[in-house]
Parts: sequence; C-alpha cells; structure tokens
Amino acid sequence: MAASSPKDPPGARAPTQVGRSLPEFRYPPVFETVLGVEFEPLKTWQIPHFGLLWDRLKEDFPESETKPPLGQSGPGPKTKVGEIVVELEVTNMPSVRCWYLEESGTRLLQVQKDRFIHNWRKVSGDEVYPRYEDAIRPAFEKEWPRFTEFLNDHGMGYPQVRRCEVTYVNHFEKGKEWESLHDLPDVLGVFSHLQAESELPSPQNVGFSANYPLPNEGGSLNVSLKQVLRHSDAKELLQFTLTAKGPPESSKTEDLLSWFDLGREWVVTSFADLTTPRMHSIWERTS
Amino acid sequence: MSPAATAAQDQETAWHPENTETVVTSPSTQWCEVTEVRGDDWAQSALRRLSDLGSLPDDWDGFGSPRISRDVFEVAFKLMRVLIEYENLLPSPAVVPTSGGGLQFEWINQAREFEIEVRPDGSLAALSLDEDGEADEEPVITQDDLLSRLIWVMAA
Repeated sequence: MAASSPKDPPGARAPTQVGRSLPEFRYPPVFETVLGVEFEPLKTWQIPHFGLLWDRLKEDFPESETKPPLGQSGPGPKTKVGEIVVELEVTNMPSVRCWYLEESGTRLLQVQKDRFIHNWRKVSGDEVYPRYEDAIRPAFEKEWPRFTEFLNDHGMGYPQVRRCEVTYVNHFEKGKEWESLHDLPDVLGVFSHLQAESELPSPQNVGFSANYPLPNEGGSLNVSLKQVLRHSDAKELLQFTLTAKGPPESSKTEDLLSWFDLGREWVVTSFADLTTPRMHSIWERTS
Repeated sequence: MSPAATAAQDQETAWHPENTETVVTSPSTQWCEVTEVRGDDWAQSALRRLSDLGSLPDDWDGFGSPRISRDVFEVAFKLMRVLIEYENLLPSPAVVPTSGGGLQFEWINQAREFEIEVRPDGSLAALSLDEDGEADEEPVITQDDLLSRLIWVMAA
C-alpha cells in the first residue's frame, strides 16, 4: 500500500484521481504486486521469440521458466451487453507463458502472446515494500518499452492494449494480525457484525469475494479473502487480494501508466476502507 | 520396482512437482504460491500439520537437524495439491519431520506401509513395506505410482 518516504512531508502528494488523499502505512502487509497488460494476441509471435526476448533481458533476468498460459480475463473493452461476439482461434501452435526471473527472486516478468506482466514479491518476508512510486511503477516504465521495442524489431508492431491490471496481494499472518478466526472482526470491517452477541461459533475456515464496478465504465475492482498456507514457509495466513482491471485511454505507455495510477488508487483506498483501525495501528498508518 | 524399471516408466509418466500447477489450479498472474485451507477433512489437518512443522527451530530433534527448508515445503505443498485432488478416495497421511531437514508423508494400514520422503534437497523418494516386512524402495516416484501404492495400502 502507499506510504510516504521519510523525505515526503504529509500531504505533499498531488490530489488523486479518486478525489481523496491516499492512505499510507509505514509497514504495509503487501506481499506481492502485479502490474499487467493484456493486448490483442500477436499473430506472428512464435515459440522462438521467447528465447530471442530472453537474450535481451538476460542480464537483468537470468532465470526463466515455462508456464501454462493465462486465459483471457474478460470481455474486450468494445464488447457491449447484448452484443453477440464470437471469437475463434484456430492454431496448431502450443500456447505457453514464459517467466523471466531476477536473480534476487523479488522481480518477475511474465510474457505470452497477449500478456506482459511485472511482478514484485517478498522472498524472506522481511523485505521492505519498495513503494509504487519509487520502484514498482518505474520498473514497468522501464520494462514495457523494452518489450515493445523487441516487438517492433521483429515486425510485430505495437501491441493494441485491451486492459490493464493492478493487483496487490496482502498477507495477514496468523500470530501477527490474528490468532484465530474469532478475530476476523478485528481484521476486516465486513465481519464486524460477528462482534455482536452472536450465537455463532468461530468459523472453521473463511473466504469471500466481491466485485465493484469502477466509475465511468472504467473497469472493475475485485476483492477476495482466502485462508491459505504460504508454500515458502508453511505459514498460515489470510490472503487479502485486491485487483483492479480496466481499459486504458489508449495503448500509449503514458496512458497505461495513468490507468495503473488510477487502479492503484482504487486498490489502496479500498484496502484502507475494508480493513479496521486496529490493523491500521499494527501497520502504522501515517495518513 | 527396480530402479531401472522405475527410470523407464519415468520417461513416460514422470511426475515433477513443478508441473502439477497445470492439473490442479488455474494459472493466475500471482507469483507467490499458496494452498487454500478449506473443508474439515484430512487434507486440512495435513495442511495444518505442515504449517506446524514450519515453526520447528534448528536442532528441533536435539541432533543438529536444521529447520525444514523453503525447498522442502515448496515440494511438500505441490505433493499435497495432488493428494487433495483425491481427498475423497485416499486415507489420511501422517506428516512427520525427518532428520536432516526433510519431511515424510506416511500411510499405514494394518501391516502395509507406504512412505514418501521429501528430502532436504527437495527430491522425492518412496518406500513400501508389505506384510512380510519386504521393503520396496523407489528413488523416483511418479503420480501413477503414488496412486497405485496408496490403493495397495488401502487394500490390506
């Protein structure tokens, strides 16, 4: 989540697009961030292009892995309710996604014929979140042009972007933010009704998901809570994920970044709205 | 099964934990891997047991064994994902730490036993013990082997 760096006086930021100043935390529970772009499938993209692209990225991303592809995340921006759209793709080419990993294990680029995604994550869990303005956004701003330049050099033109995605994955650890599911009302306001004198016992497990439309047909915000175990250290936690998706004004880099700024503002303000003052105290909310 | 026979089978049906994602979960943009805890069945108990093992300190056995490593947990959770697919058919495993920093899944039914060890380096090994105490050690385990061995244990 957003937080000011020590050099920023409170209130120094420009007004946000959602019309309020962004909440900021000194120790936000964010474990992973995703800035992604989905575009019209590149018709001439072939398997060897993954290797050719890696050749350009290898100095910064020395490891690679092959993964199954991501599906399309929803209707395209021009699809309207009631409109019948049939999309068929006939191809013999296997669909894959390639991961390019930074040596530190904290940054990842994901590429497939209709996706470009930048991930940042914690590895040990002790890392300080490097902040959207200082590291996450600049990283995309650097890597996206490298990718589009590669496409241009190989005659594929500039991608026609369908939608952008901003995802923040937050981890509320058992033993830190909560001890048992009886504590849920202390974590998320949506469970506050359980604080009343309810006859209900504590739930055995918990999960929920909600979708919110963004104004002006600007996309949607999905919020989900899952009770999970993290593979890297087997810690039990509540994974609270906020994902904003929507169409940018155009495919230009500045419009993608502008949409990311907006999406991230919705993610951050919604995060603060949905979590409780008690949690804000643990994460040391500063504004 | 002899190592040679296992290796031959490995060519066709080898199960590599990193490939299970295609079978049991939908790909997502998220990088950090997690397994959802739900239900009140043995899978949840086994997952919680794994979580408990995550808090073991170094020298947990008094003989200098290190805490269970990230590599071991990554493989163990991928194995669990496969087991969860068959949770209505399979019996509950015991999950125990092993010296050296690995862990082991164990199924025991009367005189038959089947064990899968996740070694400290993240590799897998399997061991079957029949009613006569005969051991069959398999250095490589395939998904088909895993299921057929579990059915064998249940049939005792």
